[in-house]
Amino acid sequence: MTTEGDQQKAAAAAESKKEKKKPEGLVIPPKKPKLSKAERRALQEQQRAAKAAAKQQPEPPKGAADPQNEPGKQNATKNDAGSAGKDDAARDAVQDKSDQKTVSLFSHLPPYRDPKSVVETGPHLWPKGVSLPSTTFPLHPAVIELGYQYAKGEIRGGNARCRAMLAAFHQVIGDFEPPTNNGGLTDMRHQIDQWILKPSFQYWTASCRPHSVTMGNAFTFLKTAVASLERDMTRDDMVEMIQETIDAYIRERIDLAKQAIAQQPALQLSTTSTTTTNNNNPQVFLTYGKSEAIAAIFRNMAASDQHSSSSFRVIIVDSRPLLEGKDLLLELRASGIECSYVLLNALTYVMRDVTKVYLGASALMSDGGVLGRVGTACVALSAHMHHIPVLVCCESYKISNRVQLESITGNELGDPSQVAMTTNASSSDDDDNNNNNGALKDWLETDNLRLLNLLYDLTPSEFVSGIVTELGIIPPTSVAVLLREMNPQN
Amino acid sequence: MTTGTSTTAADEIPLVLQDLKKHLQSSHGDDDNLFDKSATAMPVAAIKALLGVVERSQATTMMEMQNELKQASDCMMNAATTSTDGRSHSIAVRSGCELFLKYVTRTFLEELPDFEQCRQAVLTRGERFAGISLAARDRIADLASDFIQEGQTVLTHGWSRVVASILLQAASTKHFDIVILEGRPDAAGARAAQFYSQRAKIPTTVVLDSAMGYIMDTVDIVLVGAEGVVENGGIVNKMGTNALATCAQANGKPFYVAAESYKFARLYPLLQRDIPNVGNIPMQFCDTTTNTTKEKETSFAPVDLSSDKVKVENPPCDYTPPKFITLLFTDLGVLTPSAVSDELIRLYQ
Repeated sequence: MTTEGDQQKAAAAAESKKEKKKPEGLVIPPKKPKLSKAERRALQEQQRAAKAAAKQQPEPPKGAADPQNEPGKQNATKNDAGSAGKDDAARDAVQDKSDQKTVSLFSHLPPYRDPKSVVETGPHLWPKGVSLPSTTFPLHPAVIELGYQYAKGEIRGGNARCRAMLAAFHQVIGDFEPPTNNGGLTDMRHQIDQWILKPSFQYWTASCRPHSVTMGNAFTFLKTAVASLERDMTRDDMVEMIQETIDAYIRERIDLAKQAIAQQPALQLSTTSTTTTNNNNPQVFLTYGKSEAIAAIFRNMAASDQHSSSSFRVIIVDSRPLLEGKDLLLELRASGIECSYVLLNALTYVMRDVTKVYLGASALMSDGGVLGRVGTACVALSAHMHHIPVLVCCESYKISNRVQLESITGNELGDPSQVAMTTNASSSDDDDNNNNNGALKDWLETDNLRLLNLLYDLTPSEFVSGIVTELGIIPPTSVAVLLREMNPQN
Repeated sequence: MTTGTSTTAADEIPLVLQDLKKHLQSSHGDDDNLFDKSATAMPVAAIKALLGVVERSQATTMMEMQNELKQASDCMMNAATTSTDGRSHSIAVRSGCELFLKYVTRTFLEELPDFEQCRQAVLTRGERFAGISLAARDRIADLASDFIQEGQTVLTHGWSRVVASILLQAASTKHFDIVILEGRPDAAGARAAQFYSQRAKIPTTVVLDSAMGYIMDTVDIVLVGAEGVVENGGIVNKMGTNALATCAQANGKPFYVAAESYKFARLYPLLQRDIPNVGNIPMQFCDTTTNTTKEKETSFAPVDLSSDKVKVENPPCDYTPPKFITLLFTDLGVLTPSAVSDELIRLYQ
């Protein structure tokens, strides 16, 4: 790319690369006048310079049609006249304040968005009732609803989020009628792409919650699927085709993949506890947090277990603030599996008895690193130190083609106020019963106090003994091969 | 399935085992043949036995044929796990069977016009496959003999025909020494030492299995064979290999493994007890330093453990994790352990 070593060219190349990878970060709002790529680039550079020069300067009010709520990023010169300008300024002020509260090492990550702000901005974003000129198309209510659920954390976990996204697209595309006034966009494939897929995804990602790797992979798949349809299909055929594709993706890559993982022969109890010595001792499996695949594995083990329920037990390790392991605990108890529940700080104590560690994953990097719920790396490290095998269970659609070396570059910031809730469960003698009390109550007003609620961490591949996918168990070093074999066209 | 084919499938079971034995006879008949270069390896024998099934099969559809093959391979695997001749054949049989089944499926997917033609294609290509054993060993010897240099000392463990062919080829052009572990309980190392010193005229030293730590700092490379190569690039081999590999790494010596690619098995052991092992083979414990009868050197009184509540554990194989292995010499080339799984994914995908 940079054969001449021209610095500017390199910068431009890096720019375009970034643009490709993270389209959500550089969204051009639909109402803006169309700019050429070069112009856009120039504008961005200018904005960046302006931002660097005057970081603390209050920004001019933004347009109502601005889909992004990212202050100080590229809004400096956007001044489409808007009615909600005042509200935006106020919101920006609040956002600025929370910006100052982000830990500087993680300032490159999009700040946490309060679900309330999503509700406030949501319906204004793509004003309805506009007579569909050139590029504007109102967001479907299902998209906005789902965005709110994402932001609020009602839908959580890689599989659930991806499934919900695909279900929303299924519905929205089913409701789509090509408008008569199509603003020059005659190809229905492009209409779907430009008016449904792209804006919805951008709305979720930029305004609600950064997308997961699963969502990104599924979205790329869907975009490709739409683009490769026949141009002259009828509306009904096209919609049916896309919906079928979506359903097949959910079925094959998520649901059936999960089942296939649970039924991997190597994970069955009969083969894991064979031969000589330790046949009488029950197997002790340890898991962290919550994962659909892992729940499926244990349920499958319990179902195929001949010796009542005594041949294995599960230790569920959990940690604040999400305490997602509780859900898994309930699920496994319902299947009659013997469980223990401990918090992360008791990990080393229980680790002595463990025979195998099963971990879920949000994403799998192509170098074998595992992006998981924060705390996963800690569990894997501890198991590695105790020489206990660590199996990471994840469907192959979670493989990302990126490589990440630490947990800092790609991560997500959660609600810092969750960290601020330090109420001790045992402190019944506390006078105020308010949940949000304790030492960190006034953290927003306290100078030099910042709270960090990271959502993910990266487990290096050295701590992983094997990765269980629906295609079998592979060593972490072979993730790249799997990626290559699955996409032979690349 | 019709009743006719199901009875054939039932008759098939003993026939397969007979075939397997017949194909193996040449290699396990007597000691001379053990060192015979053309001896049939276990996975190849299994493939030949399965070819026999295809030949005799009266199946008319692909599913029937696959079912019969599956039954036959299960039956061979069962027989292999219950055999007690001191080596773990189950992995070798398994890798051969899985390879052949995958291969049959692939042939059927090629959309040949009818079933009979598919069957013929399987048979002709399968016959060709059977000849691979010898060729693979030669190719490995070509690739690997350069790793042994003039004046080096090579430490090896157990008896492996691949290792033997590498050492023989290397010995034809350079001088080097061999140190070999005794190889309890079947004295495989001692017998291999006879072969290397008498037939190949290579200076050979035999040491106790337990002397591997003592001898390790005098050797330059460690080279072993494998019963099976597992999916993560680790190997299953004669008991003691894991200790040897650990020891080699601690001393900074390269640890090489020579194995034909048909030994690659779809197994993913995480711990020692994950590998399919046959049960305990009874063994004796003698004090060989004090000759009690004073007449013949061969009679040493074993320590009697029968009355005590002592458990004797004597599995034939152990698992060596990939982190201890420097390189694997295979007929697909010289591979790092992680490349093994890449090859396996490509093979079985």
